[in-house]
Amino acid sequence: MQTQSLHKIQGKLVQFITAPESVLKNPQSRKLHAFIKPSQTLTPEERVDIYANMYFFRLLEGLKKDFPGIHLFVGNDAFHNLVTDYLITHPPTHFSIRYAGQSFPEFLKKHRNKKNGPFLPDLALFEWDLAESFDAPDGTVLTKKDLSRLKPKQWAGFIPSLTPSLQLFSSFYDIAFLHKTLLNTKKTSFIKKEKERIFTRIWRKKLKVVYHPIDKLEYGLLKQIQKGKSFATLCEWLAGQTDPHKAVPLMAGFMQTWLKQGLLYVF
Amino acid sequence: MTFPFLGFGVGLRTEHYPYILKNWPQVDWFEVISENYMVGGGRPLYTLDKIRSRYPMVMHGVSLSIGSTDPLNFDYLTQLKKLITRVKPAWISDHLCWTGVGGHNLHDLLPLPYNEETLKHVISRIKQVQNFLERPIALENASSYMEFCSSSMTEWEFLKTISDESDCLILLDINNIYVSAVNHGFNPIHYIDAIPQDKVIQFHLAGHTDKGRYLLDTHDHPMKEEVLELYAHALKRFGTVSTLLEWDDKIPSFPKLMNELNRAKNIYADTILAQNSGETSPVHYSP
Repeated sequence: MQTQSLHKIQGKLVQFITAPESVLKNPQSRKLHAFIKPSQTLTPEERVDIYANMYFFRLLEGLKKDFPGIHLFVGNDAFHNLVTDYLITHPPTHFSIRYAGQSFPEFLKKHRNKKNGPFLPDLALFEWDLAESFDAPDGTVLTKKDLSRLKPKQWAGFIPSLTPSLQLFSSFYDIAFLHKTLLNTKKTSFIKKEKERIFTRIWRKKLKVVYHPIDKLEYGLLKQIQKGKSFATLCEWLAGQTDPHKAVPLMAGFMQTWLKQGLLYVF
Repeated sequence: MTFPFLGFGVGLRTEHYPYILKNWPQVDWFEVISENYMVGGGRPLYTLDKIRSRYPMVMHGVSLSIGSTDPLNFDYLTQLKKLITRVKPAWISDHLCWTGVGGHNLHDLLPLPYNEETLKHVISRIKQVQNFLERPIALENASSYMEFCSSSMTEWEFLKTISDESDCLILLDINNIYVSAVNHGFNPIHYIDAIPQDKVIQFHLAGHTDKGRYLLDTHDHPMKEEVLELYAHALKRFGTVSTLLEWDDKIPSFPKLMNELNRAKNIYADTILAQNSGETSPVHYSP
């Protein structure tokens, strides 16, 4: 018997288990005989292949749950192939399987087969944003009463805080519509590219993840808030985007909406 | 440190959240998968807190990777410690296995070669983990489908030595012993009889699938009679030990899960009664 260090054994097993082809079809698999015993019913290759199958199918099922729209759109076989390719270039590295899909939207952007759905990367990003919003950190929702404590001279320097669950999404495709249609009808639906970007905010209202279409102005303003800008800077930014005289009432309107929808958190 | 007898519990699964929050069913305790709650907030932590407020809880991890030759993941351990502070579990556990190497996580519980090199490696890491967490951990015997040429001892000898020398506790999975016994051709009674009586803090029970040439630990079926017979044998050896039923796929309704748990409770009652009356019942095993 050849003694092999634990590290070498683990490294070799990872190679066999994560290879895209079955262990049984891997031309190198004979090497397993050097460190894996056969059982009364299985060869070393068959024993390691059990782990290879579990590795792939556990991740496949996890990604189906994270990207139900993509799965419904492309179908079982194509999704299986996408995940096979994805795991070659983006093997899971986080301790939690929850994050196995974090590079899937980026992977789809570069994936060779885009002809059936150029919007698939955006759909994947939308679904990932929903997942990110679902378990984002909690906080205390800001109320009108909290805001009323601000003295007039404090407003200019006031830096609003947004719920950590807020995800700002934009696409030239109506992804929210596509996602809803796919999940409700379970049927593939095609959408056309729009002339202008469509903006959506995704956030968690109490425990439920919700999303809402917004205009370019609100999208830009929320981006500014995410950067930690003060109330005075936000008003200035808004004045630069629209009629300067309307900036303050517009800002007041946005603040009311955000308060009502629980987007602002206690600062 | 002493640990309470929690009675008979089940693994907390998201499918059962609505039922539990509505009915607050009669169950002794819940075991949670630690990693499912290592998140910022939202429904997972909200539900965890609600259920924890009414039931005893134990934390069971799947990502410690105590046998990996990668460095220990202190980011993981820090998050685990934070969750321990939140949950205040009766105890915490993970698996005697490795889950990846070279930064690649396989999200599976892989067996180790049972030899001196691995013993030294794993014992050292358990001590580091227990020092960091400031508490003992319990390690579970994982089910397995392969064995290593470089093993020089049995799994039970390995587990016993690990526990003796690192002072960790043992979560004895009865179904896993049975699955591995069939897959590797050993007698599960020998396994159970070799485990030190004072180290076993919890039992796991579950269902598995017969794949023809091997058994697969699927947690998607009712418990097999052979596993319950082994459970009875374990009860005779270890006495009163907190018992948990795991069910992870094709999950039944909560009342049906309770019916399944009652099968274990009945074995417990019968075994204790039999012990009290001096009777014994045979354990059947056919690999």
